[in-house]
Amino acid sequence: MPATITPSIRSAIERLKHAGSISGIALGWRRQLLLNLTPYETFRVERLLDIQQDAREHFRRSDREVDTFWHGFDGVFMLSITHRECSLILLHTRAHEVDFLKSAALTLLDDCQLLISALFNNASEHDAGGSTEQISDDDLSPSHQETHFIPRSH
Amino acid sequence: MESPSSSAPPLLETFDLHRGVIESDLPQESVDAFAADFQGLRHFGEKLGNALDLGAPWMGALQEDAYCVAFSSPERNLAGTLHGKGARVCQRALLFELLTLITTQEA
Repeated sequence: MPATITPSIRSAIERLKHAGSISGIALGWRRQLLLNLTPYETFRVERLLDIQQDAREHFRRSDREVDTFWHGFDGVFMLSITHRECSLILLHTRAHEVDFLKSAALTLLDDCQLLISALFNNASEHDAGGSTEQISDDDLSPSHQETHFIPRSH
Repeated sequence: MESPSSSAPPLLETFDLHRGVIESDLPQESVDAFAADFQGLRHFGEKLGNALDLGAPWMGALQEDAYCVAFSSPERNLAGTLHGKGARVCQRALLFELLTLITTQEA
């Protein structure tokens, strides 16, 4: 299932979706789908993300870092871009827009890195208890609530 | 698979795809390197297409920091054989420019 992402990332990706001839867009972190704005079911887009990562692994075995895959099908093009640990998969219909879309997607991924890492760091801190300090029972005991008067010496 | 650095093309190299066979006057090393990338692109392209019920891709391209490969085979369905063009260049080229180059040469 897509993870919960911050509204700012969602709105940025939705704005990108209105660029050019994009008919679908999906954001992933490693093999985890974060956002699916394509007309396809989630399980299909998760499969896309898996295949894209498999393809990168395939070329990485030869010490190659392939950051972009672009495939053309009947009526639609699929552009997969990876930047650091995040990936965007774009479905678009006009071939001549590919380089513009790639540039826009890379900018978005670069801008989103901080938000996404903050999202995951916050989540892991929250899961582990993070830096939150527990209030002990002693702190709430009645003895700590009393005010002690120090008599003024004459 | 050979890495692009081991057989880096100094300029643009083009290849013919004829009946599923790669033909070129270039050295065997270049043809082998392109063939490996072509097979990888087709293999994963078909998997991507099958995931969305789009079928096999008629073109594919990949891009690295200083290396691009692309193929185009719009006539793949004719007689079940693959015809088309491929190209690779050892620089970060524009994807559409590369596609235009190989599809124009086909025509």
